[in-house]
Amino acid sequence: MKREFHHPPEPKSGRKYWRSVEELANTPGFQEQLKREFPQGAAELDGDEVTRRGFMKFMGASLALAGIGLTGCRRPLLHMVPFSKGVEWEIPGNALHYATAMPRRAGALPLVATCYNGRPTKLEGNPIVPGFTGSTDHLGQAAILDLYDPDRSKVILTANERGNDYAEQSWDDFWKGFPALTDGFANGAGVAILAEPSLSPTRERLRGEVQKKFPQLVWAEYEPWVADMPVTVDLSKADVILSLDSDFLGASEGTVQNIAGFAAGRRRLGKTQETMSRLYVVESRLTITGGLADHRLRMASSNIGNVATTLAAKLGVSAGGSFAAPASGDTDTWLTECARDLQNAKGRAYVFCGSQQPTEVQHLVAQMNDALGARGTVSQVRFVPKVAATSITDLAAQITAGSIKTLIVLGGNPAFNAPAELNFTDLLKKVPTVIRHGLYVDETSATSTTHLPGAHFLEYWGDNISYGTTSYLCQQPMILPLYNGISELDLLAALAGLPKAKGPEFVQATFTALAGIAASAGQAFDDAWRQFVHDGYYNGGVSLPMAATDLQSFTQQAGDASGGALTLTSQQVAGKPLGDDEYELVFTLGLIDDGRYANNGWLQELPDPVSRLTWDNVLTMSPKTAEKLGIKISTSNDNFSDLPNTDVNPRKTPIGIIPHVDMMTAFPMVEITTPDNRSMQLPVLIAPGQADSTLSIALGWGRTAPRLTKADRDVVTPTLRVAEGAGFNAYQLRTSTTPGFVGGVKVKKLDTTYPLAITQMHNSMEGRGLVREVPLDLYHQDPAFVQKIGIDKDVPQGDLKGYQNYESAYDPPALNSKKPQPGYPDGYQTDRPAWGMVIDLNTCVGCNSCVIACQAENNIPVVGKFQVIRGREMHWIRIDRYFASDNPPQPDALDTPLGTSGLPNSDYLDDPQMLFQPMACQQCENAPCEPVCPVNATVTNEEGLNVMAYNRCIGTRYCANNCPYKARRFNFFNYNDRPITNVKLPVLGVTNELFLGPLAGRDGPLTYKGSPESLMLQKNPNVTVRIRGVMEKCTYCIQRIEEAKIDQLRKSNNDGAGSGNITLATDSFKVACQQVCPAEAIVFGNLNDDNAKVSLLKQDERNYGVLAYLGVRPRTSYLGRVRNPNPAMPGAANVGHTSVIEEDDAPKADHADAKKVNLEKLTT
Amino acid sequence: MANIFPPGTNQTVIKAGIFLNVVGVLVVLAVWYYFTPKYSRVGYEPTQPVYFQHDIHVNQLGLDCRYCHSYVEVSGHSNFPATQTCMNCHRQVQKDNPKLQPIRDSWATGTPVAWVKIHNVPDYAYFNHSAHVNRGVSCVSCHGNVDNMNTVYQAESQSMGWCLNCHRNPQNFVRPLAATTPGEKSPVFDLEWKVPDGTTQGQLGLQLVKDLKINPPKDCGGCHR
Repeated sequence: MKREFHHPPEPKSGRKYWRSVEELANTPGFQEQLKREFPQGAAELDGDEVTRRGFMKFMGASLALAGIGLTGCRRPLLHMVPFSKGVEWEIPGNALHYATAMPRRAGALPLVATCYNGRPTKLEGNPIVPGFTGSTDHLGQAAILDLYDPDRSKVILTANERGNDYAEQSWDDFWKGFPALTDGFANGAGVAILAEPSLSPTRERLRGEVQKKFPQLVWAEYEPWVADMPVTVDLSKADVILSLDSDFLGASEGTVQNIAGFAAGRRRLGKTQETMSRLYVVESRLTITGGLADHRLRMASSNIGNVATTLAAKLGVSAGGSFAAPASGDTDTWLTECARDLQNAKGRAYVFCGSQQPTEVQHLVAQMNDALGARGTVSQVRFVPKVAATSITDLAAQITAGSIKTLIVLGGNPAFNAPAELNFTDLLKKVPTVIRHGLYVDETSATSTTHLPGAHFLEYWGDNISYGTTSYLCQQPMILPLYNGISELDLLAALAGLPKAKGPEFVQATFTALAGIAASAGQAFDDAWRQFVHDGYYNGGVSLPMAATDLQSFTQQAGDASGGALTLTSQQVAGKPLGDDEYELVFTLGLIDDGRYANNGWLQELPDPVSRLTWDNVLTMSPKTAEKLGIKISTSNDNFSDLPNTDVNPRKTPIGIIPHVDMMTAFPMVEITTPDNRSMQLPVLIAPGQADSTLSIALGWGRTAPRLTKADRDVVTPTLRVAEGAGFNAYQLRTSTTPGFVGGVKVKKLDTTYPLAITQMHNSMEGRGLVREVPLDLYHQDPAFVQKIGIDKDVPQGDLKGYQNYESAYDPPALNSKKPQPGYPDGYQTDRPAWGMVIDLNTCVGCNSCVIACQAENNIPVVGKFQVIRGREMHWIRIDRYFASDNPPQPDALDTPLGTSGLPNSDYLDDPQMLFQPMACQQCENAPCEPVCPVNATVTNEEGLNVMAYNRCIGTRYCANNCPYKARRFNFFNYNDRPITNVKLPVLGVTNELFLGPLAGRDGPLTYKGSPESLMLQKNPNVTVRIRGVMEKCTYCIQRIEEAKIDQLRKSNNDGAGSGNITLATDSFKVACQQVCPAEAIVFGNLNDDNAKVSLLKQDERNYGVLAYLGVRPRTSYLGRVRNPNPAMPGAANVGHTSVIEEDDAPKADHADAKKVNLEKLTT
Repeated sequence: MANIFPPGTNQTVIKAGIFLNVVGVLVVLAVWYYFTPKYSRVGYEPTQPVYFQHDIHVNQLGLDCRYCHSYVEVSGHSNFPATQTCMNCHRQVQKDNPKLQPIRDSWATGTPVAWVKIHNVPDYAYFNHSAHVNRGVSCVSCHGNVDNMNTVYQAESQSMGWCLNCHRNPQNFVRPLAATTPGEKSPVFDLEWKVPDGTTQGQLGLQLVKDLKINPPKDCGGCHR
């Protein structure tokens, strides 16, 4: 009899988890998505505009070519090429690790680079620098791809015709003409340098040298995004945290430290209620910080100032004026109780303030923190250098006045991201000589007379100051400049007339001064320098060359020099009240930061943690606002292809082939206009949880790359192949007076639509109690509560803690069980490790770092926007995001006619709670993917890993079809051997996003090259690079496991007799996602080792397996989430009760019956 | 109507039919053979850029394998020696021998010598030398008696079935890690080592598997990842 398994029915009432607004609307398109493993069209070729006939033509041609010469019949002659002279430390096949640092906006991130044969392949955090762990954020992980970016600028360009036609110049010629250039500077009058702010002491020293040589020179600095308040916060010491419009866990400078501290505070799940930290968030759009909040209040950004003044008054801090109360009723209670909670936790409380808030509000919040006694306990003053630099606005005034004759732009991209009112692109064209130094030929290069290629931070000697902890860091180069770039230090030194450096001379000179060890000290200096380079930081006192701005002056900057109370005006604190048809636009930072990482394919394809959007930025608004504006989400009634679309960029045109996919990915466009009449058009995404009447847009997208040379113009591909055509430029609306948010914005609905690649609609799990959470009081009553949710309630819990006790449809192989098993009287392979993983949902903040870390470690390709639209994204680990609401509509409501926005008319979309769940292959012991594989390409090994033999896979995709977690990924194309651009080829009208067989290979006649050679250098040599037609998935970083085991074998033979221990030490290595996780939420280890952290966590009462009732025995399990509501707050009764309500409403009998039925079906 | 085809044509058709059938069968067999592990390069002996004789260096001069392949115990790759290693001796010994001209050129110019690769494990198979030599698998098991070769050739098929033959029955191949008498070469690197009198490989192997806790992976993940 056919075996058929039915999941327990979804409860018809109670709290409902949902993943997207489409799901709630229950559109036919969504139903279609649910029922398919891959979205419709994912497995079909016709979507890529190649007809079957065209395909046959190509295949015929390829075969004909292959036949000529019979080259395939002879094995190639391979060579082994050793060094001529050996290289120090270099052992072929073994990795070397070097300390270095990544310069960031407000201080550097210490890193350790893994290098194979001279090429860095992976970056990790440097754990020995005080205050840092081995983790990084997603930007630190993705930086390695920028190093190898084939689109980086490679040659000097000099203008024949500025902005249009440039000629290439060699470095020799440039340096020959350089003395004449600097001689012309005389005393520097009329010369300006526009640089990015930097904490590098060497940069600071060289700046001094340049200004000494040219005393009249104007030194200007510009940074598009203002860093947060000048403090670092140790959240592990905080009991009560309030965030006022600050996404301190997602998009701020200290996210790595903030997440680590926050996770420590959440982990304190002791038996008394006070021990776990509590998070309040007041914010305008739903961020990951808001998703983690125990209590969240939606509030427009312009109203946050009023909230701050109200709270300040309740905390006894006077803002020196009278302010509008933000609201009454529940909101007032909310603020009162929040203030009381903060007050009660004096000395263990902290208030964050978003950097987009006016400075005055930040000052007020700083004073509130002082009143709460946070300074010196929870927060420390952060080192912020005080540099005498001209602002970009003043520089613009000088350019307008005509006093600047030569401008040197050091890094940055001011033509793209300068405040809109300056019209900086036009201003730059007025300066007779503009020398631009940068990593990319970009918007600023097109305004310059000379463009100089810059060097990536892994290509030159530098130094920096660590973020927050003020350690002096060494920025060690890992590789010679790949594209002939020079560093800004080299350029500054050349300007200052210093001799060219061959190695670390400039940094050594700074090091000498800072550490107080003269280079003449000989051995002592060598030792100190070597230690500095080895450790990555200087373990001793340094005297920094820059003066620090301190928090004391920060809080007093609001016009009161005596250090007393602030005097703020309501104009400073809050924006203009909004009219009826006016909206407030908030600028945010997305996953590509301020746009400087826009050409990084990993970051572009990384789903936004909240919207799950890739490859674009959008305008987000609340469902109510959308309804007011008459904006509909797409439904099947929309005829997508009939809508006009005028954009010629292929990335912006709809596919128009597969109706269901198109319908799901067509989003309405609007035009927004700011009060000063700047306007832009962009698509809209309805964002639950956003404050009504606010709009938000991420900065940095919408890059336009110029084609400056004839060679560039001759090829079809853009110069910035990844960044160009992705998203919309929000900087064109952003002025220096309103950098954070602007009120009075008008919105006009357009008739056009735009395709967006959102991953949230794929891989749906139909609400089966996958994410579990409980409020803290309930957790204290019954710590094992999460194990009794849903169908799990009716399964007896044995001594193996839940997940192992389910009956299975298959005969369990009893892997690695220490218990006697049939056929294995002594147990099976007990001396082998049994790998397992626990993911703590209580500390996971959904920051996405693990996704990029996995991508870097496992050679996971970037697939491009249209492949994501078809559900072909390749990430092995994904972060599932669920929304939950307090008062969902009755099931009938979903069948009733929808409101004008296409959504069920209900308030419950407005303010949902949000939960994250990292999901990768669960390494089932009874893996359903295995029996369906016709070639045994995926099997469970002796250590419990569900391994993949890629070379054996024939691509039937049966396994993906049978995976209950949808954790498998299929290479629909040869993603590793094709360009990421999406440009029409002149031949046959196909796009070159499609791999065209041998003809489109690296040297194929179509010349649109495959994977650039530089990207191959990034690949991890220990992981197979998969080709088309191969299924792939997470294998717990098996390359790291095998390497660790072999390393132990080597060590065991240290005596030459092999008598050492071959058992791996407890938790002696980490897998990639675990290593990068700032929250330490991912724990991997050996389940057969009772002392391993993972074994201890498996014993935790919160441990449960996702879909464990299927009997697949997943090796990965989760720890349920605990929320910590304040009982005095409005709505506290609903917080964290998600699973509880579901439980109460779904009668026990139903579950029992369901299980019985299921088992019957399985056994008959 | 006259006969268009001469009488012999009848036979031509039959002959052609037989011929085509034979060709077809041969093509199928050839392809079949090509895709089996039996098709391997045992005996592959390419000409190297330098006529290096292992026989002279190992048997006559007594060099250890690890003098040149120095990282075999610590790395997955057993390295080819850098030109520098050759020049350690050949600065003094045979310094005018014309056969060594490519080595001297490489040393002078810094251009590496491009040796021809003989044993080619596919990229998707991750063989690790250090894991094997540290558990008693001798060089000779996979590479044959290289010490007696003038030009190195491939001695074993190195197909997956051949690998598994040892992974399933390691006792038939493993050797002690340490020499029985101190000062002697480890049996792993002594290519002429013989099982001591009074015991057999089977007995010794079983004891070694137990003592050294040899437990080679037999699943895909051990080599393919």
